[in-house]
Amino acid sequence: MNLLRGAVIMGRSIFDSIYGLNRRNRELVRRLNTARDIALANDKVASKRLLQAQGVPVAKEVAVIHYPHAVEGVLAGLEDRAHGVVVKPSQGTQGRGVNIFMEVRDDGLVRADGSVMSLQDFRFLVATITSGEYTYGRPSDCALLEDRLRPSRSWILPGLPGAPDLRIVVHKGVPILAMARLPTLASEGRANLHQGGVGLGVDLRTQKSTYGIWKDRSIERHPDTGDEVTGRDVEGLADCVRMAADCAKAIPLGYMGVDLMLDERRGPCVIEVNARPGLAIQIANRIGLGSVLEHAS
Amino acid sequence: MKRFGRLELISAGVVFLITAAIILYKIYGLGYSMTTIKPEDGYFIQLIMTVTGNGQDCNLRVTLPIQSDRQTIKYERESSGGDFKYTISPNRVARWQGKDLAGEYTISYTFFAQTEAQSYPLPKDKAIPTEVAEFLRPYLEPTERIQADASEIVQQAYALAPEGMDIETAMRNIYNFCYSTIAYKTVKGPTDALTALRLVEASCNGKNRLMVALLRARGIPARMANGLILQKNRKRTTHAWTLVRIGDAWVPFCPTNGYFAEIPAHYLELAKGDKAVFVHTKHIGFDWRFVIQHQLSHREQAVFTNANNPMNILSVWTSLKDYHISLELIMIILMIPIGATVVAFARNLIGVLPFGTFMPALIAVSFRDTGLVLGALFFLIVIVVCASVDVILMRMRLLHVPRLVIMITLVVMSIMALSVVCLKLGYSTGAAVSLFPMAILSLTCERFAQTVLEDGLKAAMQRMAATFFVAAACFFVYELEFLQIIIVAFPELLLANIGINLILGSWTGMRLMEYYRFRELLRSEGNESAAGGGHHGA
Repeated sequence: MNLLRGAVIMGRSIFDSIYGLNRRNRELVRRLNTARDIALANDKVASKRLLQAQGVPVAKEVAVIHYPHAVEGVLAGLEDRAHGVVVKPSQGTQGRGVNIFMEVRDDGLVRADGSVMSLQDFRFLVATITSGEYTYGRPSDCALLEDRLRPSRSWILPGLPGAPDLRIVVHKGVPILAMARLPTLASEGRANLHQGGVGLGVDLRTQKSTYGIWKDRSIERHPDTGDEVTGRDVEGLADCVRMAADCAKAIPLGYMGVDLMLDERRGPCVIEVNARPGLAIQIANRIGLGSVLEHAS
Repeated sequence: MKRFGRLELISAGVVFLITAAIILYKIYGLGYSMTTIKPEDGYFIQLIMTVTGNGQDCNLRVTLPIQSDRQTIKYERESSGGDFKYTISPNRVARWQGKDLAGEYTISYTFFAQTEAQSYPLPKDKAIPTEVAEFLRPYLEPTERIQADASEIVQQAYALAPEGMDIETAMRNIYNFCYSTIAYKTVKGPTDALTALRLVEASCNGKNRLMVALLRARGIPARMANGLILQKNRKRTTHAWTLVRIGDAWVPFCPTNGYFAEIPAHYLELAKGDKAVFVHTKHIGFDWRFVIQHQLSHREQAVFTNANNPMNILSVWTSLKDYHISLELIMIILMIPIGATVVAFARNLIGVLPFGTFMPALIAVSFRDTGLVLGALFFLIVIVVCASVDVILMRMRLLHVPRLVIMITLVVMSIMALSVVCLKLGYSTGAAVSLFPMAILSLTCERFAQTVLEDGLKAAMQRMAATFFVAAACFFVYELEFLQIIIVAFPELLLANIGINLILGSWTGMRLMEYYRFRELLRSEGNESAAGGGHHGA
């Protein structure tokens, strides 16, 4: 009888602690985030300026282009053309429309793979962004040009096929969960989990990595490098956690995800904030959000 | 209960109560009748005839369906645009007379038919009667095509039913001979009894002429019946069967489709005897077809029954002239929110992610015209064709809206092409594909193409499959006849739809697919809880 009751209680606690999408949307996103703050988080230009004002290290804003005809002027006025530039739709989602250029030359912009985008094609890219192509449900957008970060490829794990990033979930101003996202060859250097990146839980207390997941399954080693993923130090995690808390002060979302990368020169930098961070972080940490929130409060 | 919002549950309860109150008031206070709302089985049939003339006069005779104990004809309507004089004789022969006809004319005759299956027990151990009443004599006579006096026929008849055999066995022998021994073969034009016997094969009318001839040769009164097989369809053929006088009844037999002493519910009788249903003046162009729809009239009935009640908003529409179309349209509009609820269940309860928010609910509407299988096939063809082009256009970096315009153009073109192909192949339901929602199709193509480029073909196919799955679910809900009728009679049920979604919208439980997604977490979390609780926290 006791065993049965124990099983019921245990079953309920597992069930209660995991957040599905329905519960996340209703109990976290809708309850803790106002529509206005969500819109703010989705606007990369506005949120970057707020974060900068709060003293959070971010990629420096180079220019904001509202009309494609401004492209030549902006490129001509670049301070450090050899340093490269990143172009993003200000209100884009899921990394759509983001282009990274290693160098700006007279004949065009050099991509990471060495190929060159002509100035004409670049103007077209900006036109695509400003006409709202990547901005769901909105008629127009602006293109954000920012400083190209030099993200470390050996943060957390050495010799990765791309740059890893760190996602920290902040609940009511308190960082509660962290997950590193490591690129794989299968994800073509990108760190998104649904594109084949590895998710790696990070214990905020011990500052070490915990469990790895890849394509919804547990892994112990990185599929490309073969390195063990558990028990890794996360350099600068304390700084990252502090920055994540600062982000929550600048943009008052009660439930947010903060994405950071380790810049080779500047240390950890915030890439963006997210008003609806996903739920895979629970799998990588092997803990339901419910349990975490219980401990946090 | 913990997974539902209390406020939402209470408001949903209030909404349900209001809905129930309105419906109960309509039934008990205003005399809405539930019994008349229940479906009454039947077919709405439209006979469309086209007459082409070169200035001559025209006479057209059509045998109309008769009332009998197994078939009821209601709501008859005739329209010939005033070019013809229309009369019906007491024995239900319609006549259209036109003068100096030049060009093409369309005559339509519509009615609602309710038919029942009927079977006749044959008397046991009763001999084949030797005497036949006077009024039955004509049904023993040979005719030009029913050669009951030909020696081959007489021989065959006595071989199948020798002297002294009881009527039941005799009937079974003759029927089996015509049903099984004589092979079925599609033949254009009429086949006479003798030819059918000699070739040992015949089409429907040949089989029946042979059966009638054999019976007559054996002294059993028999005649043919001509009619229509009722299926949701367009038809350009009639069907013949045999009526045999056994005891005091004309007992039906169908040696084509295998009905022995019974007539199925979907046979509609148009004419008795070996008569053509259509007779027209020579040298005029004449064509005809039946358009058969199952149970269309019920929804009308459901509304009409309650149309005079002050609270039925739909009574406004019933006064409109062409109520067929608008009532159908209103019904579809009323059903769409219910389809949307199906989508909401699929998304929030199961975790299936189709393209677009309500795309499946709208896609399913178009399946109503084509049927699920054909509809899905068309959809797939259009999407594969157009999405491939879209992928190319995206690679060409065409901007969004102009690209969508090209999409919709291609969608319209492929729909037209499919329609034409279907009509050429003789699938008239394929023509209904022209009612497909073009804008939705174009958007689906767009989403498909985008998913192909961003997440790969496999992911796109998966979401397409999810879209079809949910659309099929919506389609089955739309096809629920009880729901169709009840929603037209009580449109306030849409309030209950709001109530359902108030509850669903407050539910924070895990979606079915998430149990799979979090399966490892569910396992490990269980272990850790057992080991003494979580270790995380800031």
